[in-house]
Amino acid sequence: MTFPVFASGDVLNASDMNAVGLWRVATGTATTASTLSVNSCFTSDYENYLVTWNGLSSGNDVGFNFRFRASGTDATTDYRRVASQMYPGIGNPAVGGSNTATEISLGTISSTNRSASSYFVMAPQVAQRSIVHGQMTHVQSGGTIDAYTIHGFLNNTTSYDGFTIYPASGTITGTVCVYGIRNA
Amino acid sequence: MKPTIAILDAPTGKMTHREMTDDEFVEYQTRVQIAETEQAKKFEAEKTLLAIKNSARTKLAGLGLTDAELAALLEV
Repeated sequence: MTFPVFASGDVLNASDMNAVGLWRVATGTATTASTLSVNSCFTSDYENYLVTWNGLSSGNDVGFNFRFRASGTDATTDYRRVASQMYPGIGNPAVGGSNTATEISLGTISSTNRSASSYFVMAPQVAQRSIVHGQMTHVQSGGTIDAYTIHGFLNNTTSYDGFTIYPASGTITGTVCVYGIRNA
Repeated sequence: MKPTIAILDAPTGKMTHREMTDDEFVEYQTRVQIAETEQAKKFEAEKTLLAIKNSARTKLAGLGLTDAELAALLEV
């Protein structure tokens, strides 16, 4: 067998499986929820993770946010974040940020059309700053585009085993997936 | 009735939807209030910026600039 192209009936031995770089560790769908928390998804199995979200909110042009979580409790202070926003007609990206934030902004979300966000969560289980960086494509209610590039971290060295995503107001409906990234 | 929260337990894959506890509801109300305040500030800033742009457009048009020249300058 020639990895990674497998033929029907091939045996997947340990070396083949250990070479799989991305492993889904959690997936779920929230329905009209004010927050969506994922518990115990960050473990010592992986240092870094990829998270994807695809969904709607109950309102339009609503902020969409992220918080780290440990043992079922969200961390609510000392986030550092910057983000740039782009949409047709804007001359230069609009840049915002804070060194005293209560969350990391992922972008904006609306009803009618599903928006998508994908971001990397780096080292949540390691005793160093837990970092989030990624992007979001916001499909506005009228079908126009609004896009974000985001960066942030939580300014402590605590280990976190989960996270919460939530709209600034109202509810969200959609699917979240968490993938562990294998280093070796 | 308090808002609903969704919790996904990764090891089991079980998704639970439940009503917020009292403590969670207090934190939720604070968060929403902050977001609404920030949103109002943002709308006000955008409104002010638009008014400034419109004012600049009117003044520049008075100097004889074409619509294309104004659009290039103001990017609106």
